[in-house]
Amino acid sequence: MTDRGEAVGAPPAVRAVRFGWTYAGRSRPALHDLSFTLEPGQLLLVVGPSGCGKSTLARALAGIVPHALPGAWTGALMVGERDVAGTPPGVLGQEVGLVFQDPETQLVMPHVADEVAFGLENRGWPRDRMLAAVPATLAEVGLAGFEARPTGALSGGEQQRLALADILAPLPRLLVLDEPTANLDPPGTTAVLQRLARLAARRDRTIVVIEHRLEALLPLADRVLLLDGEGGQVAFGSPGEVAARHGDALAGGRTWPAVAPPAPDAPVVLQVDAVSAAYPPVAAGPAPAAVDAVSFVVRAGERVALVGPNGSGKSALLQVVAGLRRRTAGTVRLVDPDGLREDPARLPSTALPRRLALVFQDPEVGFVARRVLDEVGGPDGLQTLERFGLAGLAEEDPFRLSTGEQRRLSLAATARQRPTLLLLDEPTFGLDERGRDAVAALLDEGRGAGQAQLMATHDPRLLPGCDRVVALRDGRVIFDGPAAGFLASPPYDPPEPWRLGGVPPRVAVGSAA
Amino acid sequence: MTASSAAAPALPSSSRWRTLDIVITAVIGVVFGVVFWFWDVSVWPATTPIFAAAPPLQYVVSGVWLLPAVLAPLIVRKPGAAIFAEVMAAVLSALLGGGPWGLDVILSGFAQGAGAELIFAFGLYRSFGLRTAVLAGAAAALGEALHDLVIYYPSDKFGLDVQGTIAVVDVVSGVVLAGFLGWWLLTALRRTGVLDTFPGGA
Amino acid sequence: MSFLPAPLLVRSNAPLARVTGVTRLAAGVLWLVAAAAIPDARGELVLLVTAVVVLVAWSGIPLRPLPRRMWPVALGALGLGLTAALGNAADRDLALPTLLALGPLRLTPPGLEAGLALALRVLVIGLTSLLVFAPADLTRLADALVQQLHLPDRLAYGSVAAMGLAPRTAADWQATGAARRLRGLAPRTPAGRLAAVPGRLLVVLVMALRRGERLALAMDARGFDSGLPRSRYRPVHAGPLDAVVLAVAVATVVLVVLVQQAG
Ligand SMILES: Nc1ncnc2c1ncn2[C@@H]1O[C@H](COP(=O)(O)OP(=O)(O)OP(=O)(O)O)[C@@H](O)[C@H]1O
Ligand SMILES: Nc1ncnc2c1ncn2[C@@H]1O[C@H](COP(=O)(O)OP(=O)(O)OP(=O)(O)O)[C@@H](O)[C@H]1O
Ligand SMILES: [Mg+2]
Ligand SMILES: [Mg+2]
Repeated sequence: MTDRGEAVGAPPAVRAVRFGWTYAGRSRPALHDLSFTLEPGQLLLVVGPSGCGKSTLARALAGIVPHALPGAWTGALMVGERDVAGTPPGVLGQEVGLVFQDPETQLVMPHVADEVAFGLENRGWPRDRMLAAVPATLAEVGLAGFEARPTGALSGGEQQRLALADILAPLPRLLVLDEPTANLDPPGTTAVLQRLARLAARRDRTIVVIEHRLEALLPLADRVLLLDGEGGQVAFGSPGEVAARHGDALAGGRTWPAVAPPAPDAPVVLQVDAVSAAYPPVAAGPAPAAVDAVSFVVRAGERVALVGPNGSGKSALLQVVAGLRRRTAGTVRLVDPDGLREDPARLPSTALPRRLALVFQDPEVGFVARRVLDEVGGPDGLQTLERFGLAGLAEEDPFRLSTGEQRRLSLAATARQRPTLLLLDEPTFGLDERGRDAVAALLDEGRGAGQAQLMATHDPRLLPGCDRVVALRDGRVIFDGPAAGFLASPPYDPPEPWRLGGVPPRVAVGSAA
Repeated sequence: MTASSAAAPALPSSSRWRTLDIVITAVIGVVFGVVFWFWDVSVWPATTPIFAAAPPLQYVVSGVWLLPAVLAPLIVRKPGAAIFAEVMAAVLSALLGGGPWGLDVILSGFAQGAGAELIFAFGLYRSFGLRTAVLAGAAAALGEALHDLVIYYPSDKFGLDVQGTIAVVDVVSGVVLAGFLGWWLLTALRRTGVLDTFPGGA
Repeated sequence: MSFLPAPLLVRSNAPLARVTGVTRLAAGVLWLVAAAAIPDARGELVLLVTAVVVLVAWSGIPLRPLPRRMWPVALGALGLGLTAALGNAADRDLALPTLLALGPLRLTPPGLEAGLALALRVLVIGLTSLLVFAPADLTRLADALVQQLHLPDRLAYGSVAAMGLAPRTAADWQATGAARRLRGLAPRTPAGRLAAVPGRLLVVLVMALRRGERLALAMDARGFDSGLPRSRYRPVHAGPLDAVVLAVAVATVVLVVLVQQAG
């Protein structure tokens, strides 16, 4: 990698000198002793385990830390010629644009055009300039013609693109993106990464990206900042330099290892027949079907992946199977070892825990107790926590845990139930490499004991570890077969993003097994 | 200058409303607005027949309406939070077009919020303990009772017995369902850590 | 939008949808005050009839979904009307004739009058609020409050942003109930249902506060709290139509007063 875009005499785009930050009320710093320099036009990739302070750095670059969140600041952080700590956020906001981790919670206004204009109004742009800039920026991110749409009715991918338009519109010199692909389906991820590659190639602004999908971003990066679990700096340099000394940390994501197929005569545990379901309509007209005439079975000891684009009905289908969402047609049957067939929506609540469990996309909605230990419950609760590496947190409030810990807790609670059918909605979402490995180990254990598993996921890297794939599009099943078959020829157009490692621009960096 | 000092930095206390305070106060209003809407179209009509014999007694459940006016000031500790949160909740439930009260719900939201606000103002926005919470619940209930007695139970149509029953039942409900329940929610929320960036969080 | 009601799809070129939110609010508040101040049924009836005419002719509100919307209003009117009619102070005055006897309760002419007046009052308030809010796009309402009444920007648009979280909050509420059922903890009695409410409320609050915090930070990162004066993407102008709407509101109230004095 060569360094590009260094304008002679211009001040560095970002300069940190022993920069550190501690949130009010916390005893440990979120970040400490960061020292690095980024030249204008460069792209910096920030890497580190979950909770190491990556989002905190993003907030500091936009001046939210220290101006909107209380805490203690140490050292210096400069953006261009401005010292972040001494610059009002409004002034800093002229130069920095920040896209947050979660696109949905950063959309402010109810309609698309107003949303893009919001940031411009804050900067006092005259109206005629706004009237020109709004449609132009929407077109730039591929949302031409979306001006009057309600933001709440956009798909995850569209929301992500709108968030990008929001910060591109005021023409910031520094662009900060915090995990811009976290919620997206593979084509959406591809689109964002390609857009990022194009922006980076223009070299007219400095870009800081936080991403777990290293294999896709390393080839675009001019610099890499590697953080440790405690918010300290491990390394800063070109991707080559950092990889040479900390190769492990930059190794690409592992795929889940293939599993031995279950016995072909394993009994059917779940039978779904011609099931349809709808959400209430958001706008005029008939409600679109969220799930449309879906049929499939899951056998004991089988792990089935449920894949499909954003909004294709994966979550809706899992909720219907769990009996939590009303279906408009079809049948769902849980088959017990004696061949008794029951509708989960009809089962009494007390009979449900042994039959099926659902790990929610957002684990917090599933918590029922005020103490980690009570969440797991039972006389052997502490042992269960031990196995999941949560014993030290037994007395904590479940809501206080980190994303990864919360995910493990919800898995622990369901593991103790030993349900015959386990439903999982994006079980690896928001987890780093280690967290994903932990989830894989837990699921293997259940599957080994004959548990049937149905798992919605956007991550192709999990598919080799599944027995079968059921693929949805617009609420309908368009593929039901072995994972290998799905990966060999994904039933989508275009198929490339759905393949393993199919996230362009493709590179061969660290595809360690 | 290393950041290894163990002392946790303290929160600044000021009466300036940060964007965070505004949005969080509004969000508290929104959450309860949604709950009110649900309450207005299910619990309230469902309890109407139960209390048909003595309608003023239906006010035993009315304390729930006052929760935002108690909870929001306990969290953000800013002047005006009680009124803002309560009016917000009222506006949302009016927008959803739920209960029988319509536009008037905003007026009663203001009356309720103002009742609680008075208590926090008397404490100079420095007293945020259980006693203040309970008093705020009672005062919000008085605001509500005052409003309802003028609009729905006017003295030219109802005797003092009906009016008195409403006021007393309402205040008791406010103390229990807004004061104590609000305080319970606050302590439970503190445990979760979501309030760490607010003056009322610790 | 889970279990929240779908918004009414109001014709955007209807007169009431074309006036500013402040105009509708002012007219609505005027009616509200009038409805609360009128002691008898006749005055309320004048307001109610006018409200229905405005609803049909001016509002652009589709009429078909209204019964499903307005039943709580009707129920409230009925309940309060009955209470006022049968629990009226005059009902104990034995000198008055009995119109109807229901066990210990009896209905007298003043009781009937009072019940009718209150029931109509509730209907007027319900209909007025529909006329004020149904044609209101939340953004436009905030624009009008900021530009016409000089409500602070941060308060108005902070509230608009928070309102956007309502559908998610409703969905969370549903999900917490579902989660309890799956864990074998579904309450079986109405009392158990009520006892589960604080716990579910807490979960919903935690999630809403987290989202609210992220939303506020996102707004600040886009310069919301910069202290610079904001410019206007959607300027609000009151026109002749606004004057007409206000005039009609005032005229109705005058008519009510005249009817009152005539009687
Ligand atoms: N608003 C806040 N108040 C107090 N502490 C916070 C706040 N935000 C984050 N923290 C803490 O600061 C530390 C760093 O968090 P941060 O969100 O920056 O990590 P991250 O690297 O982005 O993690 P992830 O990969 O999970 O997104 C964590 O210990 C976190 O609990
Ligand atoms: N609360 C809701 N109200 C109305 N429609 C909804 C709601 N949630 C989802 N939808 C719509 O229902 C359809 C199916 O959504 P669902 O959440 O099941 O998709 P998904 O496959 O899980 O998507 P993702 O990958 O983004 O999680 C989509 O068209 C979506 O827009
Ligand atoms: Mg983060
Ligand atoms: Mg989903």
